[in-house]
Amino acid sequence: MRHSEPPRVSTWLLERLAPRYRRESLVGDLREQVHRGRSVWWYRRQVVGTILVGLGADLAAHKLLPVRALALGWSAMYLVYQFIEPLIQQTRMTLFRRWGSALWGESEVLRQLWVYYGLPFILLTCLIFMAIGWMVARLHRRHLPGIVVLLSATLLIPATFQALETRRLLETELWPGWGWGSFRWALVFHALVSIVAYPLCVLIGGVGNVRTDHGNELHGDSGTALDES
Amino acid sequence: MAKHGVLGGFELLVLLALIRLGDDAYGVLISNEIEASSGRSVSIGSIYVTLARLERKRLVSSTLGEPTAERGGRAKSYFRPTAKGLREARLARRTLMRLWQGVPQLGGEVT
Repeated sequence: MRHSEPPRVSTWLLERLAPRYRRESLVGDLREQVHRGRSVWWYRRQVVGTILVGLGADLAAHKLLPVRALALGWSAMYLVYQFIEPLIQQTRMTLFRRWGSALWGESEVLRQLWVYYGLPFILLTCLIFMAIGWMVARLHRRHLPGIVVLLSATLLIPATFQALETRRLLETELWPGWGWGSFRWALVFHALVSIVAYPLCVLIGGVGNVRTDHGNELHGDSGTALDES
Repeated sequence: MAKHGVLGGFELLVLLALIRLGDDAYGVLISNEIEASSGRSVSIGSIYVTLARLERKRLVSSTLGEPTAERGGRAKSYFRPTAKGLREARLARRTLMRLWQGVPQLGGEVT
């Protein structure tokens, strides 16, 4: 099946995460190819390849900046876990003890969303991760728009450990008659949130902050455009 | 500044492709040229990353064309080798030929 318009999400990502050097021309080249009959899947492969190649080139060209960006991002996350996460948990417990029944009434679903899944607090944590992604991208956007992909990917390391721990817990008989009840599903849910949602939040926060170059590429001045690569 | 003879393998491919294409060389055509010559699939992103390196080494210069509707209002970047780029390509050829000659496993001769 042939499309004349490239997929919007891929274009959105390309405009933000492709290498800065002649980015507008690169986006135009790919768009032109789709107009001339290349498939959407070809376009998506090119987008992924371009972002990864750009990220590799960025890391090779600025070896210290990724280290600084990761240190900054992880320090922010450490501070969040050290000081903000306990506050969130404390608030969660306080609300549960004092106004629990008022919050979810007779609804078992709402009770489980609050107690087992902690949904409002996960959303809050997502916002914090988005803010961290935004901050890191903001401080590195001139040099390394792709750095946010790297920061996001590093979140998969602790998430993998959490997933392994979740698997161990699921295989353990925590109490007699421990079956596939809500608590078990909640464990799986929290592992999935760590693997998918938190890295995605960092990515969205960071990518949303990266500026695009549409209409700003410098005409005929190869030197200046090169300096921004 | 680039030292003489420091062209990487892919850099040399890109430089040769745009020398062959002449004044009309831009990302897609360079990618097609390399694919046609080498038979290997090349992402346009890797072409641009390599062109950035070549331009940083002053082996390639670029100019912007006019934006077109087909490209979503985005201008094409045209690339051409500089005099230094042509010199480096010739030097790379001489170096490769010297290395090639007298190696029986590779046929020994370069035409």
